[in-house]
Amino acid sequence: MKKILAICGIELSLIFKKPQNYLIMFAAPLLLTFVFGSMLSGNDDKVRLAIVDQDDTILSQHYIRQLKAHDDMYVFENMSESKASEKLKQKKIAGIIVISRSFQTQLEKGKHPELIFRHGPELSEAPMVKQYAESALATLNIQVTAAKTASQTAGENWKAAYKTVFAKKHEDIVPAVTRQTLSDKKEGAEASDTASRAAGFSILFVMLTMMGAAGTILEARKNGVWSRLLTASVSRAEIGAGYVLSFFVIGWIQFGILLLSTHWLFGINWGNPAAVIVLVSLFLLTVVGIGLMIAANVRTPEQQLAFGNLFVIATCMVSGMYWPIDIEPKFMQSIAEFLPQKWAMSGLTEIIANGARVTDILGICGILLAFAAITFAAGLKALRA
Amino acid sequence: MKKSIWIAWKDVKIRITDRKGFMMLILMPLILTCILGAALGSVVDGGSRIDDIKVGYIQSDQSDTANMFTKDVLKKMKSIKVTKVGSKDKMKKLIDEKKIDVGIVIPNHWEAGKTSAVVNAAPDQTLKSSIIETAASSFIEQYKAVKEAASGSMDYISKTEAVKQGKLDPAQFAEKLAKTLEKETGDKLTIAEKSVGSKAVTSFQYYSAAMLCMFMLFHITVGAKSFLQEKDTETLARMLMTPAQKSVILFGKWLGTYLFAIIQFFIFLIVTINVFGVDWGGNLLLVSVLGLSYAAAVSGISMLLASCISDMKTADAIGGFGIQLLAVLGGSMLPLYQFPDVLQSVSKAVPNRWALDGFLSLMEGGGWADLQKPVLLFAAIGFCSLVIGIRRLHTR
Repeated sequence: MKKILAICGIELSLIFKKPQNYLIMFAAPLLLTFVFGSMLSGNDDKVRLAIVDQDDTILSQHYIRQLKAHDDMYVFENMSESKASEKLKQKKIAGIIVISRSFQTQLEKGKHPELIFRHGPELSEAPMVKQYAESALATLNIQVTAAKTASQTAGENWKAAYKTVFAKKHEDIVPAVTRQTLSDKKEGAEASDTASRAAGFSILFVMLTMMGAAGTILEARKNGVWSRLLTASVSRAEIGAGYVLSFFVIGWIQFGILLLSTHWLFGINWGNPAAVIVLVSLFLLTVVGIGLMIAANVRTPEQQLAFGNLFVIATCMVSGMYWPIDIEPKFMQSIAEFLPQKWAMSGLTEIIANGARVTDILGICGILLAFAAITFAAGLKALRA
Repeated sequence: MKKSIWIAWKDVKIRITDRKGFMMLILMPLILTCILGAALGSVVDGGSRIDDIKVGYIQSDQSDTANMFTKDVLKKMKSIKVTKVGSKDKMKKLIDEKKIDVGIVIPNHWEAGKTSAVVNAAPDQTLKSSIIETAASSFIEQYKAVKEAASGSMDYISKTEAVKQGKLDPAQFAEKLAKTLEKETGDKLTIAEKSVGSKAVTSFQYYSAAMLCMFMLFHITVGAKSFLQEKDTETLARMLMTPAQKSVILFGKWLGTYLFAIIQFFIFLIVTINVFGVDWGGNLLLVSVLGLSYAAAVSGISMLLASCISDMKTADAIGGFGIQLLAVLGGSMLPLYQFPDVLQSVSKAVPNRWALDGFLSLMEGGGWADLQKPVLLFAAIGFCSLVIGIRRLHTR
């Protein structure tokens, strides 16, 4: 055990001797923290939308008020058409709803008013926004129709009736629908979309840097350190364990900085610490295993890095680190089930969103442990040679 | 010039004949493109369509409204499969086992607006659960609107002169109103969806462009590494002994990286067009112009990088970490509209953001006018970084 620790210590001190390694070990996670942090402290993932009111009548104004009534998911802002187009092009807003000039007259006549919803291809929430706007429109239409029927019968202008009808509209005390993430625990802080994506990026980046770390073994073999170590009174298993331990520690330093700095600087709540530690440890073991697996099959550290990058990026694509996994077809989603990132990700969301404890994520931990066992078995060759 | 071309050609030849390296460079974008195609293939035809949503419901409220919601609204919605679930525990079990994606509990007195329906889903099913949530809340919203509008107009009519004088029978009016409103709710008002530009762009197209912009960034490290290798193996020193000028040699190295980046660009373009049917906008010439200028900027940056660092490991680290960071900032991973203002400004400083914007505006049916800025910018970046890189390497 002492020998293992000694080898691990030497490897780590070697890393800390070179100034450029500090860049990767500390600066990189801190930089990421800044990126995530400012992303999270932004406007807590509400979809920002613009409204262009070309009509500017009572009805269009009421429609806009109706849209703005539920501001827990969307932020609406009135602006001119040219400004809205400009902002949409610069991707500062997610979409525009244009109320056409004939909005009120069409509604008065009982015809379909023209509304246009413009958005970019990357807006995955588009169907929801559309449905939301349509339901607000339906409500307005019902009010107008009721007012019209009443005023026709009474032989008066519809506007007078409309005021009475509109005044009747009151906001509910309880929301009609609430959302609950599945857990029998007390309500944890609802994980925002961006928070779980921050977890996704952490996974991606730590994987990328860890792939290179496993290449150290290849380098040690290339420059003869490995064979010299073997002449000392250490067993092969001890050398291997020492190296693996050092990779593991490197991974933890990075992930740890990421977790702690986002917590302290930006107040992100990562949930139960024990559960996070167990989950991340198991995931890092799997990643080290993957690194070894690749190291066992390539010859030079350069190839290690190239294949490592390819593997990490390809698997992260499938497991939905680059885009929401919901938009992938079933088939690809089931492939993702065989990737460790997917499980680490659902474990982390479980911890962040549901306040899961170690006992709640035992299943996921078991799966990650199995991944680690398989990858280590496949990567053992790298340590044995 | 001739000498530079020779050096560039030598570089390309070395990279092509190095079978493993070549496989990597060609295979990597191909494999990743295939994964991209498979992952987003379902959204090729039109918008972001997601798979069937399996919904389980528990209905305690036996009012007509609640019945109407489960029988008519949910069951008639497109791409939704509905099943009735016995109890909450059973629903939780079904969600855990992934037999259903979303569960909805309709409590007693939901109709009266005294209680809230609860949408349950696993934490990773945010998109599907919010679809169901929106459906339920817009249904109840509309139901209440009808109720309130009806009672509002009844209030109004009862105060009018006609009723007071007995000329109008409120009951008759109520009947008429109910009929009109019923007809009106059945008549669905729709909102037209429109893309940003003149042509609609799918999310498959978006991510194809995003991934292309990311892949090309890898040439920054590939180019820098090839230069460092030349230095490590002392072939650079040997080249410097030949009558070729220093700047010519350095320009040749740049050209080699540039050529290779272009090869990768065209492979990606051809594969995405022919295999996955990605529409890059009508004008392939403009797409190529943008690609070529982006490649020039990328290879220029690679020379700049080569002049700033001295060992391969740093280049590798930048390759892994830096490029992913650039990809995030440039919108290759997270939609840009989610960025707060600070990051929006930061992302403007990232070359792949400009490239992505350029490709997207071409897909949206834009023309040369949209490209002027990025192309000129890339030319400037390429030129400046090349000059600075060569000057810095010169003095070493």
